[in-house]
Amino acid sequence: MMTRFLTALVALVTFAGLAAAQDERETIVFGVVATEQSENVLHLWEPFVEDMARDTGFNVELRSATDYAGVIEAMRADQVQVAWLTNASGLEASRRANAEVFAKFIYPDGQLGYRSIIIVPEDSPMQDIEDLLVCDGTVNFGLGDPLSTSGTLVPQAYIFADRGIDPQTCFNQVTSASHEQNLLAVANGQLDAATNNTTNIDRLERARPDVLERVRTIWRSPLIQTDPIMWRTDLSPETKATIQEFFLTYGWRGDAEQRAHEQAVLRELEMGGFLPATNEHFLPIMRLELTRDLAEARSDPDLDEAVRAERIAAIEAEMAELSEREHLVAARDLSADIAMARREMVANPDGPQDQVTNLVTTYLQDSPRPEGRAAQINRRPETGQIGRMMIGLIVGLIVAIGLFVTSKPPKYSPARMPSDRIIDAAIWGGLVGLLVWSFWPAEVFKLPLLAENADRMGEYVAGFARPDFSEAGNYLRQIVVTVQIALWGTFFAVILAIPLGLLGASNIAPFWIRRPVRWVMDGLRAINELVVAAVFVAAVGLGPFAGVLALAFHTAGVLGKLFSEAVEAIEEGPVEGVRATGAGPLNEVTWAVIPQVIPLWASYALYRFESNTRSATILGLIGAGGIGQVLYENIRSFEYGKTAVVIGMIIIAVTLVDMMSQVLRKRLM
Amino acid sequence: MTDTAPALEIRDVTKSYGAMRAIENVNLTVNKGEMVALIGPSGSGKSTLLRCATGLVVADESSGPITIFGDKVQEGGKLSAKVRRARSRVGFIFQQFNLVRRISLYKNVLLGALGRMPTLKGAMGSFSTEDRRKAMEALERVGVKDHAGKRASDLSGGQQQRGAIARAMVQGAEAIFADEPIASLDPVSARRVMRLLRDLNQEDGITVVVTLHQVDYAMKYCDRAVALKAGQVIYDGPIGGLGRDRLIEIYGDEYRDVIDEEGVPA
Repeated sequence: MMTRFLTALVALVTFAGLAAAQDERETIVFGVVATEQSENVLHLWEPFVEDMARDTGFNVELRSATDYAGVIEAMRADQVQVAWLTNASGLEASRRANAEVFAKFIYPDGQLGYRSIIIVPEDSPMQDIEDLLVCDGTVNFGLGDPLSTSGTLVPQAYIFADRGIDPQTCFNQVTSASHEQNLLAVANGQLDAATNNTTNIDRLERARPDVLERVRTIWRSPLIQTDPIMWRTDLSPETKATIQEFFLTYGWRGDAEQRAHEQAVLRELEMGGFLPATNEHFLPIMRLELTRDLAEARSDPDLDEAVRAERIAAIEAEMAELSEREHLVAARDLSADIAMARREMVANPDGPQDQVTNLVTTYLQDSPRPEGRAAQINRRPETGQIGRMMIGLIVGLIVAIGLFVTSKPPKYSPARMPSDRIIDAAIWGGLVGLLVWSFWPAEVFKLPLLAENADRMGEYVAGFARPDFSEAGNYLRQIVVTVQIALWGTFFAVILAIPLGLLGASNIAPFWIRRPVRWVMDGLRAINELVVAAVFVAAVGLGPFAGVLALAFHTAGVLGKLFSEAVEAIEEGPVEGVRATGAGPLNEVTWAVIPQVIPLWASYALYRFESNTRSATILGLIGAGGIGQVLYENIRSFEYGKTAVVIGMIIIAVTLVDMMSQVLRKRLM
Repeated sequence: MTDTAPALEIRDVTKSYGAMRAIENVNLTVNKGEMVALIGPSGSGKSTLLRCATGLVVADESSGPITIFGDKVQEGGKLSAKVRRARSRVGFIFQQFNLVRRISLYKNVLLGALGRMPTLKGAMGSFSTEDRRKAMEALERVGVKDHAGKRASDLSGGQQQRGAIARAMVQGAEAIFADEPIASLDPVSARRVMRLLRDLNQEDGITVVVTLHQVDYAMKYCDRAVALKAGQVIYDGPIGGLGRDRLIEIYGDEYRDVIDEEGVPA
């Protein structure tokens, strides 16, 4: 039976793999970074990507990651070919991911950039940046994502590095979160000040004016260039030309109707169109980085004077070189020309409408497009949800019928009921059908990539081979914090789970109490710790306590159910024995139920403590403190050596907790 | 009324499990100081009747009242509000002892005091010195004092059953209802338990109602027999009135062979 099933499965996967390979069309994956909720950004980009797929003839897929590092890594591994990145992350991508800038966007009002800002609660005594920088160690300050331009890099260069201040010593606590989390934290008074940017504030002016009323801006940076659009340098010249033509003309071509549609799409994205750009785009941000490095080199007290002089000289040399390159920025001329032409089109709607198209065509003549590209395009038949269900159903039926026929018992063996055989065949057939149905949505057809690109994963492993123990002491402290989070989380969970477990047991509570209690437990269990933590962050702020609460509520649901089941399995006799003495219901529970379930309950609680230690690690991802946060920050800043050490220490710690709790549980049973 | 009220009074009690009538229109009065054996074949309703008597089983709606020393236990399919008071005056002994296995025998015996303590005090386990003294005395009297500190699950059946009786004594029970107390015990332990029940009856004046399926034990230790068959009382009288014909009537024709092989129990 099992062999036959596996054979069928292998055949199926092969078949589906072949089917997937038939799409000859070149696939372009367009990656976007979502600093707000990923879902929303994806939704806004969808019409743009549809237009792109239609006009370029490529199979364009939209992908998003919630942080910059994810997109850069994907681009490095050629899983993303074109990406919308920020200045800081884009520079990182140009250094690591074989990527280069080909365009940048402008704002709907024609603005060429945005500003980094510092916000404080409306009722804060702070009036300007000097009030923030008294550095008496009382202020809780929120920086952005480590690779965020406006959230981290610009404030560091213009505020802290300029004055020789280290945020870590100046403030009571420095956290790192998205612009949206920082804004909410300031509005709710959990942070005394945080970074943000004007784009984000403009967007929220419409969506959440109530939140904006509760914050005030005390500092604005010089103008930062808009975000770059980048591609991998190894795309073919013809592909690049097609993509660039699409971007640069989008919103400013065709008839009035098409332009209205495209402008509407762009407006939703807070954009007014795209201008050509090159890696020169990063010159200002490189200048920012050098300014910051220079200030650090000048103020670092640990530096030997000779080393300091040497380092300053090196940075100044780099800056001189940078100035040279800044003179060579040629693409800007074209940008200015196009911008002017567009203004003309708006100001003079009856005049010639093909100026932008002409300018772009001229620009692109430097890299001529070979003929024949259109021949490669062949449309993939659109297999919709229903189509996939039908295929799944048919394959499932074939497997089921095949199994039914072949499961006829041979001669001289015990007879099997036909109904049993039908049920068996239906179960296995159904499973195969479901697998087929899920094949495309789960993108299992990418399985061969795993072998093809094994060498790329090797780079990670190589990074791990050079462990960096420089901060191991800090990691150890953070691991202890993680275990402490798990300890309190589990403790609160047990406290909650005891009444839930008793009231959810059919031999204790009547139906009308039991049902709602079970719903509550189901609800608690269904919601992932990460989601619960995100909710609590709003109430208690970023940090370990949000993690404690998240673990407590999720685990209460799990333990409550396990506790209930333990209660339902007790012997009824002792309960009757206590009842027959005239004792009340509370005493029946205290003296006859609890003593029976205590060993099992304790064992469950210990087991959950083990798994909560693991979960607490993950909770660091959303800023709930502990080793997880350290891990995440290291991954985001490509510190493979440190990441390796953190992971190693987590494995050791979790194993130790597991072993300890297993010994304890054995003693209890 | 309480002084003159019978230890147990059951009026027109019926209990059905689905379509099956476990007991039907049973009437029974047990006076103070009596030692009564409830006998009858398996499934005749002995246990159901005894469990109805303390409200561990709720009888059908058509049933009349059940009272213990004048305190109502249940009537018309509903437990009385006074049921806990009524229960606290009766010690109930189970075939499977029903001690809490994971706590000590001593603690189990102390639980007998719960019925007359405020709920919260009971839940906190703050038993009075007087109750603790009573518990140790009771354990000594039933002969398991040396095992007081052991977990109930570590004791033999006979020791557990004597612990259960000690619990009834701490309860200050004026009557003991014992449901097949010796069915799971070896003959020596069984004899000890029955003698203990008879001593409590004769020396302390405690009323005892005991269901038994060994007729010889009933004859040896009890004064009065109540026989049930198919949920109805078919004999209620002195133990001596159980002759050959009567026993065959109670246990059915198959019992004829038992009597012919072993003789009528003396």
